[in-house]
Amino acid sequence: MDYTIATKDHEAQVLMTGRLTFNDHAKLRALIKEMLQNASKRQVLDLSALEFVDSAGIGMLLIAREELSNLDKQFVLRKATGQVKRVLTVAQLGKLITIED
Amino acid sequence: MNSGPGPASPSGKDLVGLSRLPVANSPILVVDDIEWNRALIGTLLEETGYTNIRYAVDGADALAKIAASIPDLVILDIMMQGIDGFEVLRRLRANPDYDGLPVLVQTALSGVDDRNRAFDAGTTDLVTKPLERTELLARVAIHLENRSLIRSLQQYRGRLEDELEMARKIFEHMLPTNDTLEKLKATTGLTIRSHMLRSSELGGDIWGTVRTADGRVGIYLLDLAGQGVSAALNVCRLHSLIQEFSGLAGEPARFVSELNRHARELMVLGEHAKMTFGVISPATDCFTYACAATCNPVLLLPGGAAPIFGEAFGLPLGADANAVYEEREFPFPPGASILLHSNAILDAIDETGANFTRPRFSDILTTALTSTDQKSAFPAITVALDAVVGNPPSDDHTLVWVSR
Repeated sequence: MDYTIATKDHEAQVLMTGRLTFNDHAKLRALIKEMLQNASKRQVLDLSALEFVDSAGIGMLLIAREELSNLDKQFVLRKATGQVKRVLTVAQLGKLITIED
Repeated sequence: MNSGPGPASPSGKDLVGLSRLPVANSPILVVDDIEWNRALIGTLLEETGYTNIRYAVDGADALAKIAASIPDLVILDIMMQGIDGFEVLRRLRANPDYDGLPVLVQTALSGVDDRNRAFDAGTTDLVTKPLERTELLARVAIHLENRSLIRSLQQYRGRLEDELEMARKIFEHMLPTNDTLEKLKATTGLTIRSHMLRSSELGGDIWGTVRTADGRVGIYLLDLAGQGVSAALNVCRLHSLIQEFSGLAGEPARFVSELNRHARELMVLGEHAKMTFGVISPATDCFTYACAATCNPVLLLPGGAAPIFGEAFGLPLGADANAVYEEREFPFPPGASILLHSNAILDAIDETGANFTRPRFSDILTTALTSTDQKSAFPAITVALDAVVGNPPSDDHTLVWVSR
């Protein structure tokens, strides 16, 4: 998985590409740290270019949600497709995290 | 350049001295048929602080000493009477016991062809004669360090593999035994079969049965997030929770909700599990189940009807302490079968670029079932799905099959 962060319309937009799996643990930790530190209240993960997420990846999203909410930051998942969309839907993550199309 | 005796250069820093790694006691074998050369190399090494230097007086002696005890480095002369350095190299490299043994060849051969011939024979590195102290010590240090680092990596890797193997045994220990399943069949008439392909990293799948207070059979499939040892720990935690709360198993949604509440307390933030739990009620011909982020159970009715997929939405266990799980129901008449499966199959289908996972999965099942009778339906499905997930799969692949 790779990511880039841009600040637009008062929100931090993180574009994720590739596959988000167990092996991305360190990288995702670093991303969460960046999201905690940047000034935007709203942190958006743009998942349109993410091809695959495994259960460890879902776990990291849950960690991000909790840590951001501790700092009163909003966490949004946007534009998931394919396998990623299926996994988010089946796991009903929409009940815990704002999911936008 | 400091070429005199003694380890320290005039600046007080010896750039070619002993490594900071613990290599001073590494065994080094010096092979030379001229005594004066052996003494020279030995002195340079000893002055630097190497303490475990052995000597061989010719090729045959070198092979015998290496066979008796493999050193960490061989410093080998090429031009020797009898078995020469090339032949020593050839024999060492032909023996897998000496894989990774570094051989530093000292040679007066200065032509490119000669040097290439030495490398072709399996030389790790070369030092030219007449020997230059700095060069020799630098190369000795490099190869001993490599040897030491590779050895510690191998040890670390070996330990990880041992731990993974222990975790694997823990998993296997928690699965129902054939004996349990035979007894279950004898008392309830239910045939339960399973098939598992473990990923090389050890995913987190287990399954099992629970008896409800009124004697019905409950069946679960668990898929722990993550891999290896941490997944194994969480499997143990959930397995004991399942036993502890089995009194609630008659009500699948309540049972799963209770497990979830406790799982949230036991597991570290981010750790979670997927679970399907269902209870078979022969009196009412139905299968009542609840799902936590797992895959849809599949109903296969007798008579070749198309597979029916149940709904499976639900938060994963451990994500939210207050999650509420829904109870769903399947008809489960005699002759029908239910297939529970972990998500490896759907992930594999998605990865092949099929966007409509469920129709594709349905096609695979239908194709597998058309060419077989009821009896061999499970083996046929197993083979068809194995072909999709690959072996070993990238995540644990589990099928549990219940038929009445």
